[in-house]
Amino acid sequence: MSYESNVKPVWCPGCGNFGVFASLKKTFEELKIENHKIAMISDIGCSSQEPHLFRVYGLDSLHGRVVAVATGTKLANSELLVIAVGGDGGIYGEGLNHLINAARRNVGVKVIAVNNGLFSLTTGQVAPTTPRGIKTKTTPLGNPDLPIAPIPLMLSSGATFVARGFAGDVEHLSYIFKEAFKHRGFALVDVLSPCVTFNKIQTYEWYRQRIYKLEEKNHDKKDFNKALEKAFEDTKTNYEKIPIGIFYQNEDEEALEEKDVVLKKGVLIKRKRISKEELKKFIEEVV
Amino acid sequence: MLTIRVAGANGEGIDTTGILIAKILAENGFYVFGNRGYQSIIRGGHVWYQVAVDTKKLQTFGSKVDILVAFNEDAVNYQKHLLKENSILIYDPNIVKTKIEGKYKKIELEMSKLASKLKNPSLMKNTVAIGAVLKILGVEIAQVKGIIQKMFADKGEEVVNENIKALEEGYNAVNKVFSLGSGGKRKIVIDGNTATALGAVAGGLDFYAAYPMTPSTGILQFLIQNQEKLNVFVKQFEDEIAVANVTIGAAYAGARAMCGTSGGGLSLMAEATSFAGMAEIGVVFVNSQRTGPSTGFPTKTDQSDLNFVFGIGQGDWPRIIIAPTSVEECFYAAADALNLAARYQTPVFILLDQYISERLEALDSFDFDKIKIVEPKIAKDPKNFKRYEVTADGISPVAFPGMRDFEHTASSYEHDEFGNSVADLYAGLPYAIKNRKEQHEKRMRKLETAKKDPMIKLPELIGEKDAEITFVCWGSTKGAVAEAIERLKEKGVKANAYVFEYLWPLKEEIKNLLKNKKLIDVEENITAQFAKLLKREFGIEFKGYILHYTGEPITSDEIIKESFKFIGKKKSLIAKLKEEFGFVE
Repeated sequence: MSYESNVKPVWCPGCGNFGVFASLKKTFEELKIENHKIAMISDIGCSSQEPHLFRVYGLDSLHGRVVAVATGTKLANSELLVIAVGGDGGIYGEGLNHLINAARRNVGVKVIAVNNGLFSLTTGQVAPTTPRGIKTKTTPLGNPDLPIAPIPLMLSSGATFVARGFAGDVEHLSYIFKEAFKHRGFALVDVLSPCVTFNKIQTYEWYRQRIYKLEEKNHDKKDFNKALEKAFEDTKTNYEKIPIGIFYQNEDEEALEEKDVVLKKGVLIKRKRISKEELKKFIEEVV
Repeated sequence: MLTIRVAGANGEGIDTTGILIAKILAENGFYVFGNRGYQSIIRGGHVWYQVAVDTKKLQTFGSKVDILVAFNEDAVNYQKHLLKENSILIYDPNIVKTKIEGKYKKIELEMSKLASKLKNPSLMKNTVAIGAVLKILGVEIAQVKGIIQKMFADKGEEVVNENIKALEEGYNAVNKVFSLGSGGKRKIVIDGNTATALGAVAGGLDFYAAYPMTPSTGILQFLIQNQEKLNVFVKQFEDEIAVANVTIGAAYAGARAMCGTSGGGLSLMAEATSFAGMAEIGVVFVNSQRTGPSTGFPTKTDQSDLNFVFGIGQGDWPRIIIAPTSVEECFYAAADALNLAARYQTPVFILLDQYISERLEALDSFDFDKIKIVEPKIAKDPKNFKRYEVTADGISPVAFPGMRDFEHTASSYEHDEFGNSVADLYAGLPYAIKNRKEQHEKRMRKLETAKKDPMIKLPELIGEKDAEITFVCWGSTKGAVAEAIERLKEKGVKANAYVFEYLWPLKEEIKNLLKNKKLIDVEENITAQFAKLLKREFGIEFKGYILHYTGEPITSDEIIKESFKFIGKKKSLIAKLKEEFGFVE
C-alpha cells in the first residue's frame, strides 16, 4: 500500500519540510514498514502537517509536547515505529525538558527536529536555534543570545543516536532516517531545513556551501569523544563548516521498553492483565 | 466509638505508631478510621495520628480524644484541649516535666525507660506506648502477638521478639480502663490513595504516570512498588506536563491510562487536558486537592479545586468529574473512571483531597461484583471508517495504532470527520465552518449521553426522606455530614443529606430531588463552589452555607453547631445544644 495519503501539503514552495517528507517516504518504502505499525506524532508548527500527508497513524499533539506524547505511545505499544516530528521551537525550546529526559531514558522514540532557526508558522520570530546577532521580528536589534546546540546537548544527555541531516539532500537524509529507525533506542535527527519565506540568511545555498558529510570523512560513529569533537565544529568555525551525518550511535544500551520490569515481558497493551482472583489475593496479602 | 491520638515530633514514628494501632485493631476484627495530622517537614514540628475504633463501621475519626499519648511536652500543650473529663492522657514523666492541669485522667508511663532495656530504644518506646494503649482499651495481648509476628516477619526474628517484649512492657505497666471486647472478622485497612490505585488496577489499568506531589504521591508509590505483581506500567516522569502528555500518548495507543497529581501539578497539565478533549482521547486525571491557593498547605485538606477542574483547559470540551465519598468508594470510582474514559473518549477527573487520600478506613472486603470493564467503541469497517464520525450519541468509533487499514490522524486542531485539520487551508471557509460546528456539537453531545448513563450515579440520600433541613455535600465530607445527621437525630432534629459523588455532568433528575427543600451547603472551600454550580445549572437556591477552609477536615461538631442557625425555633433544644457545643447566636 502506498504511504501517501490524499492530503495535499500546504507548505510554502521550497520549504524544507518537503525534503523531510520525501526522505520519510523513501525510508518507509525501503524499510517496507507496514503502514499500521507507524505512529507519527507531530508538534505544532509548520512540520505538524507531516503525519497528515502519510497513510499511517498520526496525531497532532501540542506545541513542545511531541516527545512526551510519543514516549507514551511507544511505551504502550513497543511494536510500533514511533516518530516524533516537530520544529526547533517546540523540540529545543518549549519542550526541551522532554527531549533531554527521553534521551537519558533511551526510550525508543525517533525524534525528527525540523530546524529552520526560526518560528515560522507565527511569521518569523526568534527561535532557540537562531544564531547570535540575527535580526528577527522579536529581535529587532539582533539576537543577543547564544543558540541552543542540539548535537552536544544530546550527546551530554546520554542519547544513543545523534545525527544531523539536511532537507536539501533527500538521499542522505533518508539514509540517516533508515539508521535511526533501525536503532534500538532513542534517536535524534536534527534536520537543517531552510525557511524560504522568513529566513533570508540560512538558505539552501548558504547550507550547501558549508555542510560536509561525516561518512565521507571516515568519522567513527561509535567513538563518543570523536562525536563530541565534531559536535562543536559548526559553532567553533562560526558556521564555516557544518558536519552532517550520524555523529554518534551506541547499540549496546538497552531501550527503556526493553529493560522496564513490566514492558520487557511484552507489549503493554497486549499483555494479560491481572485477574480479579489474583488481585483479590494480592489485596488479602498486602493490604 | 473510642479514639486514640498519638502526638509528638516529626521523625519520631508517630504515623507508624498510629497506623500500627489501627492495623492491630483491624486484624482483631474492629472497624477503625485513621487520620494523620502532619506538616511539610521531615524532622521536628508537631504531628499527630488519630485512630477511632468501634465494632460498627466508622464514618469519621471522631471529634474528641479518649486516649492521648503525648510523646513530648508540645503534644500535651497542643492537644490537651481535646480531652474531656473521662479522657486519658498518657505521658512520660521523664520527658514531660511541667505540672499538668486538667480534669482528665493522667497516666504516667516511663516509655523511654521501659524501652531502654531493648535494642533501638527510640523506636521501641513507640511499641511500649502501643502496648499500653491496647491494655487501656481492653484488647487481649495474646491476639496481638501473632499480628506483631506477621507485621515484622520480613524484618527478622530479632525485631519481632524485641517488639513483643516492648509491647508487653507497656501492656503490663498500665491497667485496663475500657472494655473494647472482641471484634469480628479481620478487616482490610486501607487509605484512599491505595484504594484508588487498586480500583484502577481492578478496572484494567495499563499505564500510570506521575510526578511526586503531596497528597497524591501515595498512589504513585504504591503502584510502582507493586508494579510487577500488579502487572501495570508505572513511571515517575520529569514534570507534570510530561506526565499528562505521556498518559495521553499511551491512551492514544489504546492503553487504559491514568495519571495523578495535586492542584499545582494539575495547573501544569491544563493544556494537555484540553488536547485530550479535542483529540478525543480517554484518560483519567486524579487530583488530590490540598489547601490552596498556590503552595498553600501541602499536607492539609481542601475542596477548592472544583471550579478549576470544571473549567480547566482552553475552550469547551466534555469532561466527567467524580469525587469519591469514602475510601471504599475510591476503589469503585477509579475503575469506573477508566470505564467512562474508554466509553466517552474524553478526560475523566477523580477529585480526591488530602483527607480521603491519606485517611485509613477499615472494610470487610471490596465487592468485585461491582467491577466491570467497559471497552471503547472500536471501529469495525475500514471502508467506512471515520475517526470523528458525527453520531447521535456523540461517540465515534476509535481505531488504535497497530490496527490494519484504519490509519488516520487524530488531531488537536479542529478537524473534519476523518481527522484532517480544517485549521490551515479551510479556516473561515464553508467546509471548515460546517465541520467546526458539527464536530464541536458532536463532542459536547457526549455529555448529554453521559447524563443518561447509569454509570454516572445520582446523589446518595442519607437520613430520612423528609427532614427539616437537607445538607448538600460532595466527596470526602460525607462521613462528617452523616455523623452530624445521626447526632442531630438523637437531639430530635430531622436532617438528611444529598451526597454527590458525580459532580459533572449533572443529571436532570437532580433538580427535582433538591426541589422544595431547606438546603444547607456543606463544602470545604470559601466560595461554595458546588452550590453555585447547582444554582447555575438548575436555579437551585440554598438557605444556608457551612463553608470550612481551615485545612483540617470538617467535623460533625462544626456542622451541628452551624446548623442551629437554620433550625426552627426550639428554645429548649437550642439551649441544650448551646451547652454542648458552645454555640453563640
